[in-house]
Amino acid sequence: MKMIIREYLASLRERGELDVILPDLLSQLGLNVFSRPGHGTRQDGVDVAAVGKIGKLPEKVYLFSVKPGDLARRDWDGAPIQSLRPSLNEILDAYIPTRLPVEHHGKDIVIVICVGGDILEQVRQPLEGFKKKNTKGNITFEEWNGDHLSALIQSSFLRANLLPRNARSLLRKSLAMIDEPESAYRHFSALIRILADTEHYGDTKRVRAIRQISICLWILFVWSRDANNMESAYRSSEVALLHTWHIVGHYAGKKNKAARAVRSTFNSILACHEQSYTDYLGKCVTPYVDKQHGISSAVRGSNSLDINLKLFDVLGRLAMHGIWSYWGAEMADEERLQIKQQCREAHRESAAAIRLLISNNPALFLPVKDEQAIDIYIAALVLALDPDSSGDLKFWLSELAKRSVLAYKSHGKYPCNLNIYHELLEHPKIGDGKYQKRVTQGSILYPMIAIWAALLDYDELYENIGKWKQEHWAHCNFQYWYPDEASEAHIYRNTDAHGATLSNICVDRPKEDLLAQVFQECDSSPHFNQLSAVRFNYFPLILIACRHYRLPVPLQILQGFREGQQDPETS
Amino acid sequence: MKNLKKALVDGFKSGTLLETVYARYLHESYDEDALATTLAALHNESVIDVIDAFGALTKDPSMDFFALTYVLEITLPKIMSPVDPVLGCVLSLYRQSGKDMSAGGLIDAFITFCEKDSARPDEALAVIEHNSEYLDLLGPTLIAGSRIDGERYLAQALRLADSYKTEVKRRALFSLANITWPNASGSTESAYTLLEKIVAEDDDDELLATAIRAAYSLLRHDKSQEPRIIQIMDGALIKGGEQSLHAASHVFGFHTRELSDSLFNGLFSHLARVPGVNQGSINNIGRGISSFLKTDATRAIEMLESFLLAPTDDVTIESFDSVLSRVRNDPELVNRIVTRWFASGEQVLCEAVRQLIGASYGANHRVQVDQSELAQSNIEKQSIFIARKAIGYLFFNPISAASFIISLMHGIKENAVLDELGDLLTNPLLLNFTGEAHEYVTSCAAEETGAVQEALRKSLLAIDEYIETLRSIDELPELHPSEAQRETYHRKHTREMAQAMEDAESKSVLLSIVDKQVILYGRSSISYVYGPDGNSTRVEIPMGLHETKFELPRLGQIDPFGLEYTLRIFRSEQMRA
Repeated sequence: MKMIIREYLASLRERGELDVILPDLLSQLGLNVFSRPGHGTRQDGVDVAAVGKIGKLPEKVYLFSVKPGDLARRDWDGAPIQSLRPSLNEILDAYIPTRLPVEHHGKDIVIVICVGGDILEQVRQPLEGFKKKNTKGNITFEEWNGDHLSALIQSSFLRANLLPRNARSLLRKSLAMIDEPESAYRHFSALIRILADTEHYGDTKRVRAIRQISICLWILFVWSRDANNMESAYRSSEVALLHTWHIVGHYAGKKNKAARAVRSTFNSILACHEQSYTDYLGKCVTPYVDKQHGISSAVRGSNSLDINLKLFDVLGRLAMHGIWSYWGAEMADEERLQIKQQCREAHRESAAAIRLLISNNPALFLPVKDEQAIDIYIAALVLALDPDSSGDLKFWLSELAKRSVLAYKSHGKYPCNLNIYHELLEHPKIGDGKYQKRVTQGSILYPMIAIWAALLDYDELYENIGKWKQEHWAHCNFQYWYPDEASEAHIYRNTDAHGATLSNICVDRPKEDLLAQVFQECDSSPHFNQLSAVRFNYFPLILIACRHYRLPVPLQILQGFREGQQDPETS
Repeated sequence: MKNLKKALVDGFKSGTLLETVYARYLHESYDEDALATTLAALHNESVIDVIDAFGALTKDPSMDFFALTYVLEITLPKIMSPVDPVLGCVLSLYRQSGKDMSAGGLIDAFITFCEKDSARPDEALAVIEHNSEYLDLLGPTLIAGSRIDGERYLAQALRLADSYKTEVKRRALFSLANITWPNASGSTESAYTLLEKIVAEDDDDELLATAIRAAYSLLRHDKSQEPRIIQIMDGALIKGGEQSLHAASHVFGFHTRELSDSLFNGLFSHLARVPGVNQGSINNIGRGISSFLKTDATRAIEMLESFLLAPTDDVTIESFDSVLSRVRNDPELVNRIVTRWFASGEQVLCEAVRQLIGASYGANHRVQVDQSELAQSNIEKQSIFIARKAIGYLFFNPISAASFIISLMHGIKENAVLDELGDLLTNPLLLNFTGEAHEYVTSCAAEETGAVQEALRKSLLAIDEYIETLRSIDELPELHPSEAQRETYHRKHTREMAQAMEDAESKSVLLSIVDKQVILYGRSSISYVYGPDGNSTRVEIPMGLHETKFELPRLGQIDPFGLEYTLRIFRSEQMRA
């Protein structure tokens, strides 16, 4: 296990990786972390600051200057912002005299040179000279390298009596199977379910469990990145995020130490998820969206089904990136105008990438599974929130509907209710009318398109859906799903069925009637607004849960469009 | 000869004459004339009774029934015998042979036997009229009689054909189709009258079919009353069913060059109703069309079009295999038909082109446009139209489609139209098939000159850029299907391939006549062949690799719906006026 952790630490190569995991480790060691890494530059050379006792040592203040990977000569005294020596000088010259909290004045101070790998010999001499020169009074220096951190992580999180044997085994299996992402994800999900089963735990165990999830996820992420396959890390980060949010829910509204620790670790997991999807999209998707058939060809599928399934999955992931960006812009207050602007720009870029992805990969004009409506919904949401995309959104929705009905009429690969791969391979069974009706008994896709058409005042498309419903899909129950009182308990972990479905959505009546029907149900049900992710302004988690566990995305998210349509002045 | 005689006599005496004859038939030194002559001589000398022995012949696994029947066929004309037992013998063998073509030789032998003695037809007729069991031999008897005394036996045939018994009528009428007509016109007038009466009064399809055959036989004898014959045939075909149509197809196919225009057109108008499942009738029609292909190809093509465009939708060009085979051997005719049918825009004809070029002709036969089939006043628009048809219907024969489009370019002067043809070559053709089709277009571009070369180069450049872009994308394992998905698809694919193999084997002519043995190991097969002397010879057959390859269209995976939709549009669109 130590080798796994050592490998993980050595591979942390970005700011925002080692220094993100460090506070959890320190907290777990019993220290009180009073300064955490934030966005932007360090605070006068300090990445993390903590106070407390380690083992039997007396209480000390620990000021960490973090350097991912090995410490080489260029990292010691190279570029001022990234090099260690200037940071240490800043700590000595600025942080200790001016920024150290008053309550810690007079305490022994340890400046910790924290590296994920090793301190190379070429740096040893100048470093020792620096330490000798500056060790004075209550200030001393320590070196925490990869080995030391590994030992601390293992003893704090992953040792036998803290992490059950089967969980350790699942972690090892998921790391071993990174090249088979489906298997790796399966093992890691099982690990998460074990670790997140904290219903009967007290605060200490819960905090430790969520930190264990975080450290395991980061280990998987780093190993995946090194193996050049981010798939399992991406999917595992979603499941980790959702399960930990469920734990966070226990501390909603609380401000005690445990609540702060849980929220802090949740942010670390969110950071890992963000890093996972950024790496995934940056490597696999965004560089190729502008290439005709680029991503379709890169799937290397044996058949059109492989390409179809993968493309809608990619579309959903890309759309989630857009949603997070939009959320980031909404959450950033006016004081953080730059972040707000960056997030808005990222949302616009996501919308543009979605437009290119669709236009260059025509499989995205015809889903093979009705449930791919979930990915379509999220992508449509990103496009609808972008003023430059409304024309493309209308065209796409129209093509989706048109191709679906033509494929249905000609017994092509029309959207169906099948979900099992081998059944989808046999789809469609040409000439079997009973089969055709059986696999199209229900739909969320067509009502969802109709709702978008109604919200976008795209009357031609709306009328066509109504007409096609009567002509071809009279047997099909057009429906939509709404959260209910059980959803909060299950939506993040997929532990049981929840929610309720509105049947017979009236796409064949005037659009006002349809909108009244579907949004009246939203108005009359408080359960969506009672979901913790909604209450605490983390609505993207609902979309992740819906995408991950294949549930329709609640229509309440479209309330803004509905209101805008009713009153354009307020839109 | 002595040995043969002795063997036959001994065989007769021991009750094994047929076995002896069969042994002789199988013997290396078998001489059929000697056997027939000896059998007849012994029979005529009353040493043996050939008729009695062969009358007892049944289908027995120990002897080849048809081989022995053949021996009787060559012997019977030489036999001296009362008619009665011969009728019984011939009828027995005729019925056992299934009354099909294989029995034709025996019936001919019976006719020759009857002809040999003018009394025999009379005797046979008396027996048959007395005993309806022998009705199957009525026709041959009347035919034999007509060769001796045409007028008298025509009268007999007409008398019997006017019988109230359908079975008698049908067989008598059959004889009229094969009878030797007398020169006296009075008798033939009775035949006209009888045929008109039958067509007017009878509904039996078999009878009407026989009336058609008889009518044509009469026409060949007497051309003076052709309109009357046409009317008889027309009437029979209006009332008749598949058998009547088959009889008409026989006249059409076997006497095509003899038919006057009016009879030709009269028959042709009915033959369009022949269903595709009646392959015999279709073969007859195909034979008729084929006879025109060399001398009057336009007429042959028009005839073919009439059949393909007829309302019976189960007749396809593949039904006319004799026509297909002739057309395929004439590249200019292929080009002409392809151009003409694509230009027509008729879906049935375009589909026929696909079958002509693609289905069994070996993939990727090169086709050229025949400019004489295009309206030169509208050449640009029409070229685009038929280029799209070529892609729509010859998509899975990309070299065929590409060769056709490139040949179209030669007739184009406007650069915009050339570019449009080049674009069609690029997408969907080369975009989908980057293997042999790309190589073919590259080789054409090297050979062409001027504007055509420029258009081809542009097309190739666009495709090369497209391919280069795709190749520039890194390996992205995150996007690959999971191992489980790959295995599931592989299992399905393997199952489908095995099923296809099984289906192909079940239709294999080769495998139906040989035993199949599976070799599990090694690279050659060893076996020992035993000769007549009992010595064995070692035979070692080396095994070779047999493989075939085909290229699947790229968009079939990337955008199956879009590809199918495009091809459908190309196939179904029509020229706007």
